[in-house]
This record gives sequence, C-alpha cells and structure tokens, in this order.
Amino acid sequence: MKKISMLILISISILLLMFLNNYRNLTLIESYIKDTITFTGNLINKPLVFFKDNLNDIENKKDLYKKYNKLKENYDNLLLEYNKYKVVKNELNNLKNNVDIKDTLIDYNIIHAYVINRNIDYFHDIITINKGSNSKIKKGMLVINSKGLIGVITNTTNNTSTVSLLTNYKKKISISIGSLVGFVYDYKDGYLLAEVDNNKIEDKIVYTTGFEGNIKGIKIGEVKKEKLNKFELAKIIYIKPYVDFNNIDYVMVIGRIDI
Amino acid sequence: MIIGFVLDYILSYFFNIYPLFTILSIIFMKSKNKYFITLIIGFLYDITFTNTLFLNAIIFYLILIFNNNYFKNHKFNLLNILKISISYIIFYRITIFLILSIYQVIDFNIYRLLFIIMFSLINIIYVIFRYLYIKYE
Repeated sequence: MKKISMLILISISILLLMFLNNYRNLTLIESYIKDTITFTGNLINKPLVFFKDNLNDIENKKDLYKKYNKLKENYDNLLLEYNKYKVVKNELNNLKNNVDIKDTLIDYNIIHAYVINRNIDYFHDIITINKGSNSKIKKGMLVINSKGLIGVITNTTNNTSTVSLLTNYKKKISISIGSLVGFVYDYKDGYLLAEVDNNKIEDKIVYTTGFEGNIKGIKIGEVKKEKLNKFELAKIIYIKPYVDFNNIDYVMVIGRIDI
Repeated sequence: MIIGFVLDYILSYFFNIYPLFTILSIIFMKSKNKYFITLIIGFLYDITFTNTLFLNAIIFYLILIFNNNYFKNHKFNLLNILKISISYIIFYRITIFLILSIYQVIDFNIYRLLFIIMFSLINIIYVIFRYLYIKYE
C-alpha cells in the first residue's frame, strides 16, 4: 500500500513539474478549449463591457473644453516633432540604403489587442488578450501600452495570447540606461530590480535594448534607487515601472518587421 | 458550479478581487455526476484562469471528497457552511501557494499569501447568498 501511495505521489509530482511551467507551449486540446471558453466568456462579458465603456465615456466628457485646449497645444508641439521625425526617418532610410541594412532593432509592427481575461490568483500575474497566432503573434513578443512595457507573450492559441506581466516574468529582460546595459531579474514591492555595471548612471529612463530578438527603445520605467551588489562589482537598481499593472485594458503587441 | 465558474470569469475581468466562487460552489453540489463534473470544471479552471494543468482539478476533487465526508457527520446549516468555506479558502490558497513556490513558479512571500487569504475571505458573502437562496427557494 505504501509503495502504491509513493508511486501515485511521484507520478503527480512529475505531472505537475511538466505542466507548472508558464512558458511551455499549449497542447492542441488546451489551445482549442481556451479559445472556446474565452469566446463564450467574451459573449457574456460584452453587455457589461459596453456598460463599463459608456460609464468611462461619461467620465471622460467632463471638462471637455479644457481638455481640448490642452490637446490643441500638445498637437502643435507634436506637429513640429513629427516633421523633425520625418526628416530623421528619411535620413536613416538613406543611410540604411547606402550601407545595405534591411532591418534595424527599432523597426516594428504593431498589433492592437485588448484584455479578455485576467488570471484569478495574482500569484501568476498573467493576462489573456484577444489576438493569437492567427494575427501573427508569436511567443516572446513584447506587449506595451501608451505608458510603456507591460510584459511578454508566453504562449499563444489561434485567437488568444497569454501575457506574462513584468511583475512575474521569470526570464531576464535586457535593458539600457543611457550608455549602461544590464538586465531585469526580479520584481519586489512595486520595483523592478536590475543589475548594471558599476558606473555612474547618467540617465534615469530605462529602455529595452533589443537583444533577445526584441525591439529596442521601449520605455520600461525610471530609476528610483541604486545600491552596490554584495560583491561591489555591479549595481542593483530599482526601477519604478511606468505602467499601472492593475489597470490594463488595451494593449499593443510589437514584433520585428521581419517577423 | 457552472454559475460559480461564469461569475469567476466575469468578476476577475472587471474587478481586482480574488473570486473563489467555483471552489465554494462545491459545498452545494448535489448532482449524481458531481465527481465527474468537478474534475471537468477543475480542468477548465486550470486552462482558463491559472495557466496550469490538472492542479486545480486535483484540488477540487480533494475538496469534494472532504466535503462529502464532512456533511455525513455534520448538519447542513449556515454555521457549518461558514466554517467549512473559510477552511476551503485557506486550504486552497495555502496549497496552491506551496506547490507553486516549491516548483518556483512564484516567489515564496508569506505576507503576500496572508494578504490574498484575507481578501479571499470576502467570498463568504457568495456562500451566504447561495445558502439563503437554497433555504428559501
């Protein structure tokens, strides 16, 4: 009897070990079941989402004239910046043609999506979005919103994708701060922890580097604190992410143009 | 249990709370095929909400077995239901937390666990409504 119990315990442990990995590829059955449930769930949620959106609209319509004036000012500034951007982009294209470079780390495609399901336990810190491999989304692509980086695609079905938020992403993300390069390795008490070289940090804004096949120059957050690691060879920095992870509705998935 | 599952889906989308309606619905299961239904719903729960496989199905099944034995010896009244609901919430949260910590899916943070247990206790409201509904139906 003891042997049988041990055997069952070991089998369950092995099974759990196999399937308790957020980064594994979903099986075909899992993928179809998830697609079906999220489709049905979406249908149920639709009236409630409509109601929520209308409430938000009413809230947004307050002080409309003030907002309009502020946006008008911003628009003029943006127009100037846009013209500058066009000139720089043309120049960059010319230079790329001269040295025969086809793609760079800053060229990317954007796929718009919205959140259809949040993970129930915040243990996992995972969201599901309404676009999947049918929309050319692939594992490892970055997910952003207007404020900055949210997370990384960890697996996809035909019509949905699972996003591991930065708060729970267990793989290292390569970052740059000015001329310094390092990697984010953990999330604690509202801060992303990263390790960089022991040099002076000139800039405060943290971007992605574009290594690991990702896009360069996506904003992650701002450096708030720094300290030396225990060997005093590198610095550990505390990054406050720009994104509010509790309030994510609409997102953009970005991938290299060659993808 | 299916209603609990749908409510979990809707509430987890709109609010940043920790609904456990599916698990607490096990207390009220009276169907002949309850073992089979529990396994299936547990399996769907795994895929939809927690990105795991078989973990919730096994826990749901264990809770159902315990539930059946408990109500063989105890009356089905509000006090017993409240006691058992609190135990299930604590059991579920601790079990999931320990398993995920052991397999390094999450970091071991006891304060986080206590915080989640505290907030999960709000699910008892659902159990009270459900009991009253059954009683005065």
